[in-house]
Amino acid sequence: MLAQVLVSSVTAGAVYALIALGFVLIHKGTGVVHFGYGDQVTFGAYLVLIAQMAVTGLPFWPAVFIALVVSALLGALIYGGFMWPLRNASLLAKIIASLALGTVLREFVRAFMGPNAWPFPFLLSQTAVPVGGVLVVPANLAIVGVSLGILAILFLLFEKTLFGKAIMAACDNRIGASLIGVRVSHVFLLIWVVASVLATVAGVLVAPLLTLSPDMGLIGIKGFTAAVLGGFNSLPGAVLGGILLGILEALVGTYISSALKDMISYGILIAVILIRPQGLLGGLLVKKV
Amino acid sequence: MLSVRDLHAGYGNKTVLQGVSLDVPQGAVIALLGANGAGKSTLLKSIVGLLERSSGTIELNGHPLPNATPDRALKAGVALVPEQRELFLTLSVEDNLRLGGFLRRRSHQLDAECERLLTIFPALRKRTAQPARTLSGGEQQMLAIARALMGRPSILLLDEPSLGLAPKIVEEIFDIVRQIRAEGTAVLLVEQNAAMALDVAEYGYVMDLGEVTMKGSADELKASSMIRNSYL
Ligand SMILES: Nc1ncnc2c1ncn2[C@@H]1O[C@H](COP(=O)(O)OP(=O)(O)OP(=O)(O)O)[C@@H](O)[C@H]1O
Ligand SMILES: [Mg+2]
Repeated sequence: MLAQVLVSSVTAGAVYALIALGFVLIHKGTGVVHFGYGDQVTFGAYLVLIAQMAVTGLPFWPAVFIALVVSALLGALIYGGFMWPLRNASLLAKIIASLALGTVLREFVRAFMGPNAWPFPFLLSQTAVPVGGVLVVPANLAIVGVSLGILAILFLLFEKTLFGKAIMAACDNRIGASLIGVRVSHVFLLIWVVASVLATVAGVLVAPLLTLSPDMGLIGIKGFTAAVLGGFNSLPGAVLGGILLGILEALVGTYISSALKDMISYGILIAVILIRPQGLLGGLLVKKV
Repeated sequence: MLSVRDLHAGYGNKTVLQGVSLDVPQGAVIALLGANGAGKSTLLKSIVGLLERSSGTIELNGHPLPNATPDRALKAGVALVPEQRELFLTLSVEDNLRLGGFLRRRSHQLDAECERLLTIFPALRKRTAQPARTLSGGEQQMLAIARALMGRPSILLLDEPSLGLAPKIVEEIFDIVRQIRAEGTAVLLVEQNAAMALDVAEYGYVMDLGEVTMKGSADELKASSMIRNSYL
C-alpha cells in the first residue's frame, strides 16, 4: 500500500518539480515571483487544443509541438514586452505586471474556450500494469519520464556546461556577467523562453490528471510551494521540493483524508515561511547553483 | 595602443567626463590618480563599454572600440577589474575563474589557462571548490584579477585593487601588477595609494572633476608639489 502510494505520488511530484523549476528560474533571472506562471501552465495546455481547432485533423503530437513553439514565442514576448521595459521598475510594478499577465491569459481562454472543462489525452495508456507487486500506470510513467528527462537536461546544462554557468552567472551578478562578455539581456530572454516552454510541458502533462479548465492555473500554487520548500533560489531544491510535496499530498490523501490533500500545500507554505524561510536547501543553495 | 580622445560620458543627463584624453602604450603600466568623485571609475567603465559614452573615440591598436558593448571590448582585448569586484558570489572559485574565459570557450584551453593563473595566484588554489563569497577580501580581489586575465586581455584596467586590503596583501597585488606587465599585458591602474602606484607605473595621469588636470612620467609626478601635497 505504502509503495503504491509512493509510486503514484511521484507523478504529481514530478510535475510540481517542473513548475517549481520555472518559478525559480524566473525568480533568479528577474528577481520576480511570477504569479501568473500557473496560468501559463494552463494556457500551454489550451494551446494544444487551439492548434487542433485551427488546423482540422491535426494529430496530438504535432499540436504539442506547435504549442511548444508558440509558448516559446510567448516567453519572448513577455520578456520583450513587459519585463525588459520594466527592468528598472519597482518590485511591486513587476509583480503587478506578472499577475496581470496571468489574468489576461486565464480570461482569454475563458472567453474563447469557455468556462467548462475540456478532455485532454494522456501521453500513454491508462491501463495499469503490475511491476514487482506495484501497479504502474504507463500514462503516469510517461509523466515522470518526461519530467525527469527535462530535469536531467537542465541539470547537465547548469552543472556541466560553461554556457549554463554563464546563465547562473548572469543571475548572480549582471555587471560581472557583462564584464566576462555575457550578453545579459539575451540570457534573460532565454530564461523566459525556457520557463514558458517548461510551463507548457507541465500543462500538457498535468491537464489529463486534473481537468483542463481556465482555473487549472491554481496548480501554480503547488509549484510555488515546492519552490519555497526548496529554498526558492536552488534548482535542485525546487526538484526536491516538488517530489516531497507530491509524496506528502499522497500520504495525507491516503491515510488521513483526501479532502485535506489540497490544504497541504497551503499549510506547508505557511509552515516553511514561519519555521524555515530559507527552505530545505536554503543553507546549501548559496553554495550549489 | 589604447587611445582615448575627448571622451564625454555620464549617468543619465549628468555628464561626468568632460572630454578626457589618455594613452596607454603597449605593455606599459599607467597610473590614474585623482580625488574621490573625480571620474576615474566612470572613465574605466566607459572604456569597456559598461557605460555608454556620449561623444569621443576610443581606439585599440588603431581600431575603434564600439560604444556600450562590453563583450566586443573584451573580444578586442580590454578587460576591467571593477572597484566592486563584481564576482559571482554564489558560484565556486573555479567557476568564476573559468567564466572569465567565457568568450574563448574551448574547454581544454580553459583548463590550461586556469592552471596558469593558479600558479600566479597560489592563494586561490586550495579554494577552487569554495563559493566565492567565502573568500577573504584579498582573495576576492585576486580572484577578480584572475577572472579578468582568463580572457587574455592585451590591456587590463584595474580600479583601486588595493582598496580596503591589509598592507601585506597590497604589496602582493602590486607584485602581481608587475608580473602582469612582465607577461606583456598593459595595465591602466587607478589607485588612491599614489606613492605605490607611481613606483610601479612609468607614466601617470591626474584627474579632477571629470578632466585630466596633470600628466607626466612617474618621476615628474612624484616630484610635483601638487601631487606631494594632495596624494603622497
Ligand atoms: N551610478 C551612478 N549614477 C549617478 N552618478 C554616479 C554614479 N556613479 C558615479 N556617479 C557620479 O559620478 C562622479 C564620478 O564618480 P566616479 O565613481 O567615476 O569617481 P572616482 O574617481 O572613481 O571616485 P572614487 O575614488 O571615490 O572611486 C561622482 O560625482 C559620482 O557621484
Ligand atoms: Mg572609483
